Amino acid sequence: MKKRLTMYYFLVITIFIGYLLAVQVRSNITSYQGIVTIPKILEMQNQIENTKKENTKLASSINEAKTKLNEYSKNSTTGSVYENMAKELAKVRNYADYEKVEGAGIVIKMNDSLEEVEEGENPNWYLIHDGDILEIINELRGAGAEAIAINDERVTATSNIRCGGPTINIDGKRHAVPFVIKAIGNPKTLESVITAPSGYIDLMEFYGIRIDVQKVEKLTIHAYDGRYKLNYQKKTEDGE
Amino acid sequence: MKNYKIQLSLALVCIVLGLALSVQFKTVNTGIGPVSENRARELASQLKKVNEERDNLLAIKDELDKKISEYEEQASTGSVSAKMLKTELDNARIIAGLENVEGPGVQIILDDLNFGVSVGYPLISHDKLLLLVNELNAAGAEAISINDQRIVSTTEIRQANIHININTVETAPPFVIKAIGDPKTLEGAIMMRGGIIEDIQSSEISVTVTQEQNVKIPKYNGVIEKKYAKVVKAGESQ
Repeated sequence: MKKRLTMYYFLVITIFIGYLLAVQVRSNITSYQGIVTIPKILEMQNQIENTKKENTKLASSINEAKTKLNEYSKNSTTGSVYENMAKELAKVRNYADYEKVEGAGIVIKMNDSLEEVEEGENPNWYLIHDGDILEIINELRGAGAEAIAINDERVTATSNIRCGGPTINIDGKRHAVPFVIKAIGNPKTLESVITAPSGYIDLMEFYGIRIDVQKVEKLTIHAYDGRYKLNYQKKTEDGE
Repeated sequence: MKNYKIQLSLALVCIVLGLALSVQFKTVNTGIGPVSENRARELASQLKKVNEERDNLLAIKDELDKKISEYEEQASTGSVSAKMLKTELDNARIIAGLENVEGPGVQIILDDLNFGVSVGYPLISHDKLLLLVNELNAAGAEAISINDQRIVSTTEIRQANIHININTVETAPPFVIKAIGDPKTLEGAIMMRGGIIEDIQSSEISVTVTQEQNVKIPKYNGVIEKKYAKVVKAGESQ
């Protein structure tokens, strides 16, 4: 009698285990393209989010193009597309940093550290390098800066910033400390992003590099004064 | 004695069961819902849908751009000044990154051979890409793209966990960097001893640099915001 009872126990337990195994196997192995794992699911979710964001951006740029097209077609009968094009040109030149602009923003002043370099420490940590400025420009862009200048040198898509001995060359022009970076954009956003704890400036301040960030109501940034770089690139004809 | 044996085996079974249950719970309880085939299939179809939507939107954008260009073309046949305006507009658009462009240059492929294997940190970090773009610019690059994201004047290259966001679009290795300019100068500048490629290259990162006769770089597909920066009119801006 007792033996039989144990057998029943075993029966129930084995059935349960069998069921669990079956569920596990079913949910894990037979699936869309290989095994469904958590990283894979997360990756897919990520991609979806990302593409959605891209689509929103595309949609707004389509809207922009539509408004433009509307204006063109409205004026095409009266023959003043020319005026539209002139307006468009001013806008595009602004996008390309070839226009002098003004607006609200922030001013960042930076100077090398005055702290003593201690035994075994690298004196380079206490100086401002090209990489530091690149990082700050990058953070400003991420925070929505619309125009940026370093020591009144306009920063464009093709600008380069390099160390040249004791000075830093911005587009081949030499500049020494202190560096003044001006950025036009939402002053609050710019300031909070740039001075965020564990942000790049926070790190630089750790080494005593003197940084001062000021919100400004109105600042002016000069146009880029170089030529159009069109020696090698040309427009691809016929889209596809 | 026999009783003892049975109890022992029962205990064993219970331990195994308990483990199986806890593993199951841990797997499910990660805040992303059940990991099941259905969920995966659902996500895959969603992904397909948003991708189709993107292709669709891109096609619409291209078509609109073409129409705008036609209007401008038409308007520019009238007079010499209109023709000059059209040329200037085309050139400005190329510089602003709003046109697909092509020309000689270099193509650089950076691949993280261990990507996805959990090292905990990305081997190709955003600052390497920033430096690379900077070096290419210094060598006279006229247009640059990374994984088909055009570098324009508002482009940020940001670390987002193990991915890198460029123009707020997520990218992952392999990174394909294209640059238009003098191929020799571009290659020479980045391949310099102690230069940026030497800095990036390691046993876990493969680097391929090739000079190309014709590199194609796509236009920027977002909207360049100028809400704060207002143009200062200093005479005529044409």
